[in-house]
Amino acid sequence: MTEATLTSGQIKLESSDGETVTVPLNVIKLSATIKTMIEDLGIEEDNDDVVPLPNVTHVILNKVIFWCDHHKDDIQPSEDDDNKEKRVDDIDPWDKEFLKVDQGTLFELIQAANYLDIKGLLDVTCKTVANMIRGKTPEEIRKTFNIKNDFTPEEEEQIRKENAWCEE
Amino acid sequence: MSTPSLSAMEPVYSHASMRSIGLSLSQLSHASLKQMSGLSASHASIHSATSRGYLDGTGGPSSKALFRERMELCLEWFNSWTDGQRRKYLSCLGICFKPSELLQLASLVELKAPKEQLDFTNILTKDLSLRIFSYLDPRSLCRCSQVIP
Repeated sequence: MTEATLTSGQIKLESSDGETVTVPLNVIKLSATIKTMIEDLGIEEDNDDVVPLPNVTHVILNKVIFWCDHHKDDIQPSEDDDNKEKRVDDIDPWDKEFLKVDQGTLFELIQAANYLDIKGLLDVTCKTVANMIRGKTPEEIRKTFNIKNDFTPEEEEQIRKENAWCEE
Repeated sequence: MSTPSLSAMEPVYSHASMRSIGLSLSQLSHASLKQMSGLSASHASIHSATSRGYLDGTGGPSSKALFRERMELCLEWFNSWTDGQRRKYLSCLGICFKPSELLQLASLVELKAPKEQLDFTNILTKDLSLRIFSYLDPRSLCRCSQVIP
């Protein structure tokens, strides 16, 4: 696998529901999982081999490819970026629009980004969920994620008192 | 006399052959039907006792029992497939559905697999849930800790 192949070649991916998608390597290279695989296995350009992705449906795969295509020319974050202070107010407007999806799709995108090891997509999807929590009261958080309130009123009062410090 | 009689004989001959073919065809289909019910019989003995009603030879096949038998068989096959096989089959099924059936399916999906108001900690792995929490400030985390006992 040469650098030239990575910029010009294509690869066939098969979703868990049996759809085959052909993706340019310079787009799917954002997936560290696939990048490592083609580098290690030395898949030739225009090879007919199909890479099965048993954890990703074609609907989600197409969304992931769409995201990668938009971000293929971005400067890749370096490894030590993980140690930087985490910012959540820096979601790019295109990503915000891209992630206006139902929760089910958003969580599937998180799982796909994690499986395919696409750091940028994993970051932005997790940030989006974090933003759904931020600034909400416990009751509002329960409502957002349909979580049953199992506290008795006494317990709830107790826990509210214990956590009063964080509301100061 | 030879020529006209031959030409007159010809249609009779071809008619006869057509009839004989027709006969053998009907015999064949009868035989294959028998064979099929024989197949069903072996399935019946393996898979369910409910199908005996239509095989006892008294009243002929009961379509209800036959349908139930085959539906159970389909379900049994479906349950024995791998995840990938099941998904492939579902994609194929998707093409066969009528619009009204798709609506029925949509209401079932909405009930069984809602797309909104999902508790992500039940869906994602612990690592991924923690990753989400890692983007939160102390106050938000504190409020999260008050969500469930």
